[in-house]
Amino acid sequence: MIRIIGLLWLMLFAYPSVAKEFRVVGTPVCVTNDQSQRCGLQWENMSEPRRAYVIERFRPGGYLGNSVFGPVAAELDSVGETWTALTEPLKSLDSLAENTVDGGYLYRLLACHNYEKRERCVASRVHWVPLLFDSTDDIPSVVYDRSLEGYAVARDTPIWVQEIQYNVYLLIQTLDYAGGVSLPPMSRPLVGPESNDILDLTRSQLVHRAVFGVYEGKR
Amino acid sequence: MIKRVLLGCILCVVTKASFAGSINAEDWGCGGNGLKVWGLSWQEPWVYPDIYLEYRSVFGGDWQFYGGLLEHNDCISSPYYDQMWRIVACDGGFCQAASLYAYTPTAPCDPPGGR
Repeated sequence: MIRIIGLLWLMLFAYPSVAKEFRVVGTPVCVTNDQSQRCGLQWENMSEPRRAYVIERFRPGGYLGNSVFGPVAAELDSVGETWTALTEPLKSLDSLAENTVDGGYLYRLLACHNYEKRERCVASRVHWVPLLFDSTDDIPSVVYDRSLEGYAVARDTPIWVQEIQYNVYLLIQTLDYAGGVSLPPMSRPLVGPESNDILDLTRSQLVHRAVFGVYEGKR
Repeated sequence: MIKRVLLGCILCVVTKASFAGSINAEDWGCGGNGLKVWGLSWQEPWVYPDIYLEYRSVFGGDWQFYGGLLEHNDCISSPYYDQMWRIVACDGGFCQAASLYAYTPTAPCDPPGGR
């Protein structure tokens, strides 16, 4: 009996902690110049100043990122963090965008009175930073998930089409690894998936429209 | 008893066997609305008598059969945007899906104005 209670206690309290949920305020926006693949995140409609600001990247347990060897390598790292800070706590909101981030991941901005203790924190919506390419040669033909099921990129299509496919496949991977982790809403695209009025969108906005639909449909 | 065990193992192997089929989304030009027109082509070994297509919204939902029985190693025009597609092989009521998927995004024919 004592053993059973002990086991139950372990199951309840020793399980890896999941991401703490914070009240959502405002939206990250990617501000970048055309020369750079990277993105500086600005926090729009952030109406509640705090003492510390941090950029966090979502990397669910086992997910190692944009590697074709991901499913294999992931087995070696079956319990990972969910949200990882990419910066030391910054004192001003404006300095967030100076720290550029890689494409192909989900990010959020966190503001707290004390970041280490997660005191009085608010979080932004989640934002997918698109992974864009200079050449279609750099885009993998297939993305495999951890069950070794593959998602094919259409090779005979223009780069902006392959980018949409590849980013959606990466997001599907991320959400698959995330399992039951509760995720905040995503930043809204200029044109949502309910509309096909996309002819004036940029490559980033096309990706945003597609990943938003996938994210909100699956989270 | 031995027969049962053997049969069980064979069924188990068949159920878990990966179906070696693939599907590709193909660029079939431009529609009057300025959006890409998609085609789908597929390849699969001839050991499976019946081949079907399944699709589901990339934004969520269940798999649905599309059309009817297909020719082996053929192609069709893909009528829906933002769908994930796969082929399914059936033999006497036993069906399994291929482990390769293709996504037909809503995409413009002309290059977007910027990154």
